[in-house]
Amino acid sequence: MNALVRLPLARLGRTRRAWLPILGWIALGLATAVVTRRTGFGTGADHTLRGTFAFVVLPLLSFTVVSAVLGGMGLRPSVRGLVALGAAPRRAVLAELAFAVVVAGGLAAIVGALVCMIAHGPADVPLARDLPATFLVSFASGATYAAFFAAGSAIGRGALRGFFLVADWLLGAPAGLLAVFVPRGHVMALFGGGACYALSRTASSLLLVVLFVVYGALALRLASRR
Amino acid sequence: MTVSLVTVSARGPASRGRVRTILDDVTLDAGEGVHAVLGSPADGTGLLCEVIAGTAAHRGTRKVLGLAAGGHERIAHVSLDAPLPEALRIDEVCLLAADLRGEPRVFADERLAVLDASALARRTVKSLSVEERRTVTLALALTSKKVDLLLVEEPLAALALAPPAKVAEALRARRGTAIVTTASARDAALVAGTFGVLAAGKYRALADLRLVAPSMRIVVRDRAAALIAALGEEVTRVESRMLASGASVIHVTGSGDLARVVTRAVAATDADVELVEPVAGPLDALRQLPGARA
Repeated sequence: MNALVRLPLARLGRTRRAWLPILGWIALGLATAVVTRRTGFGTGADHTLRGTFAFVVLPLLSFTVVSAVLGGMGLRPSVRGLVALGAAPRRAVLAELAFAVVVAGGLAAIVGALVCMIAHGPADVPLARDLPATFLVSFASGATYAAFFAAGSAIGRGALRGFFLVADWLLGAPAGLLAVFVPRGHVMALFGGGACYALSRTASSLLLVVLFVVYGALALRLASRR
Repeated sequence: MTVSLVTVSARGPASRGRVRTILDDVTLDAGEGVHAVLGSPADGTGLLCEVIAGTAAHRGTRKVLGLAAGGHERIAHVSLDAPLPEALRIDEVCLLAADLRGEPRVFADERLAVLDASALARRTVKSLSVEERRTVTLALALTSKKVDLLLVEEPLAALALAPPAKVAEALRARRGTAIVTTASARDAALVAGTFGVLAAGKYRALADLRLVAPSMRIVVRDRAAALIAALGEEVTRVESRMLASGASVIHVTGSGDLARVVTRAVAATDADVELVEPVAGPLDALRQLPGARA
């Protein structure tokens, strides 16, 4: 497994086209937090996390991480170079998927925590409680989005990754039934937005984990199918 | 048998503007040595390699290296597009290949030297042409201690740096099983010991080399007349012509083991021979051969 992650690591670190958009989305999240703090919002963290961070930064950050890890290709084509060198296709797919999930989740968690700290206002939940909760929710959200986009990348040559991004935006409106099947509704609910299809936050957090497992398994299954 | 396919059928991916390749009830056995499958990619040669390598779906019984599935670290496939990890340098690719196959790490220069490709060691994969990528992939496969089955599409074409004769020699000298697919009967005759034809997804084994290369070409600098006289009764037709350099080109056709007859004659006459090579017929003629057995 150690050898298998060398390629996605190199794709992420050495390709400027890969990490520049990632830095851009991180910068947008942090800049919004700074602006909110300067504006003097009483509930700055709540406002920023529920707004720009959950709505724009989180999905697009995960999308760009998945694209970068897969070298802009589909999940199956992205491992052909490893398979040619003797890797088992299923293990190679699993390694790239796991790497994308960890990086997307990790970055989302760090940026979420930073946004929470920077934008935190006097009327927000105390930082000692808010920070770990934000960290965990951001990690789960980033990881689920990564699994979701990986599933899109596993269909055909990977062009459906973009389609999945659009579908998440279109279907993820909290009130709709279809929002249950995409991450957006649950993520927005967990960051303090409206409930996803009238579900409780506990149900949304469980469903987010279910979506992570289902889309991850789907990506693995589709990309390793011979 | 290293490779055993019994009534294997498969379908290639549907690409826009291309005919979908198929394999239709392919039964193929390949043991130690180099086995050539004559056919074009449209006949399904690439798909056949993918099925044998275990990277394409199929119906029927596939047993490779004694396993129905897995064993990827013991199989090397040099395809026409030869994908390599595009974000790495070639020396890093060499280390990665060694780690993935679980073999000791060796300097990239040493591994690539087998095909005169050491100059590529510091290049990035992105900067390589397809021919250079194929050369690197083939060099890694040839120098691997773990690879027991080598699959090479068009072994003597689309390679950079390495002369075809060196590639053919390296393939023949290698231990284990190699299956090469090619649309060139000449390349097949130069590299392989056993042969088959894949035409529109249907595979037929060929009895021997004479079906693939019915004649041989000998370029001799001196004692051509003595060599012609010594070629013997097994040679049914001898054509000779003089080149401007003074050397003679002799075409011999016969029903027996031509390679053995020619070798004996050369040894007996001590002729100064520059080149001996099989002369193969066109692929379409091979597809129609009555000697090909299903």
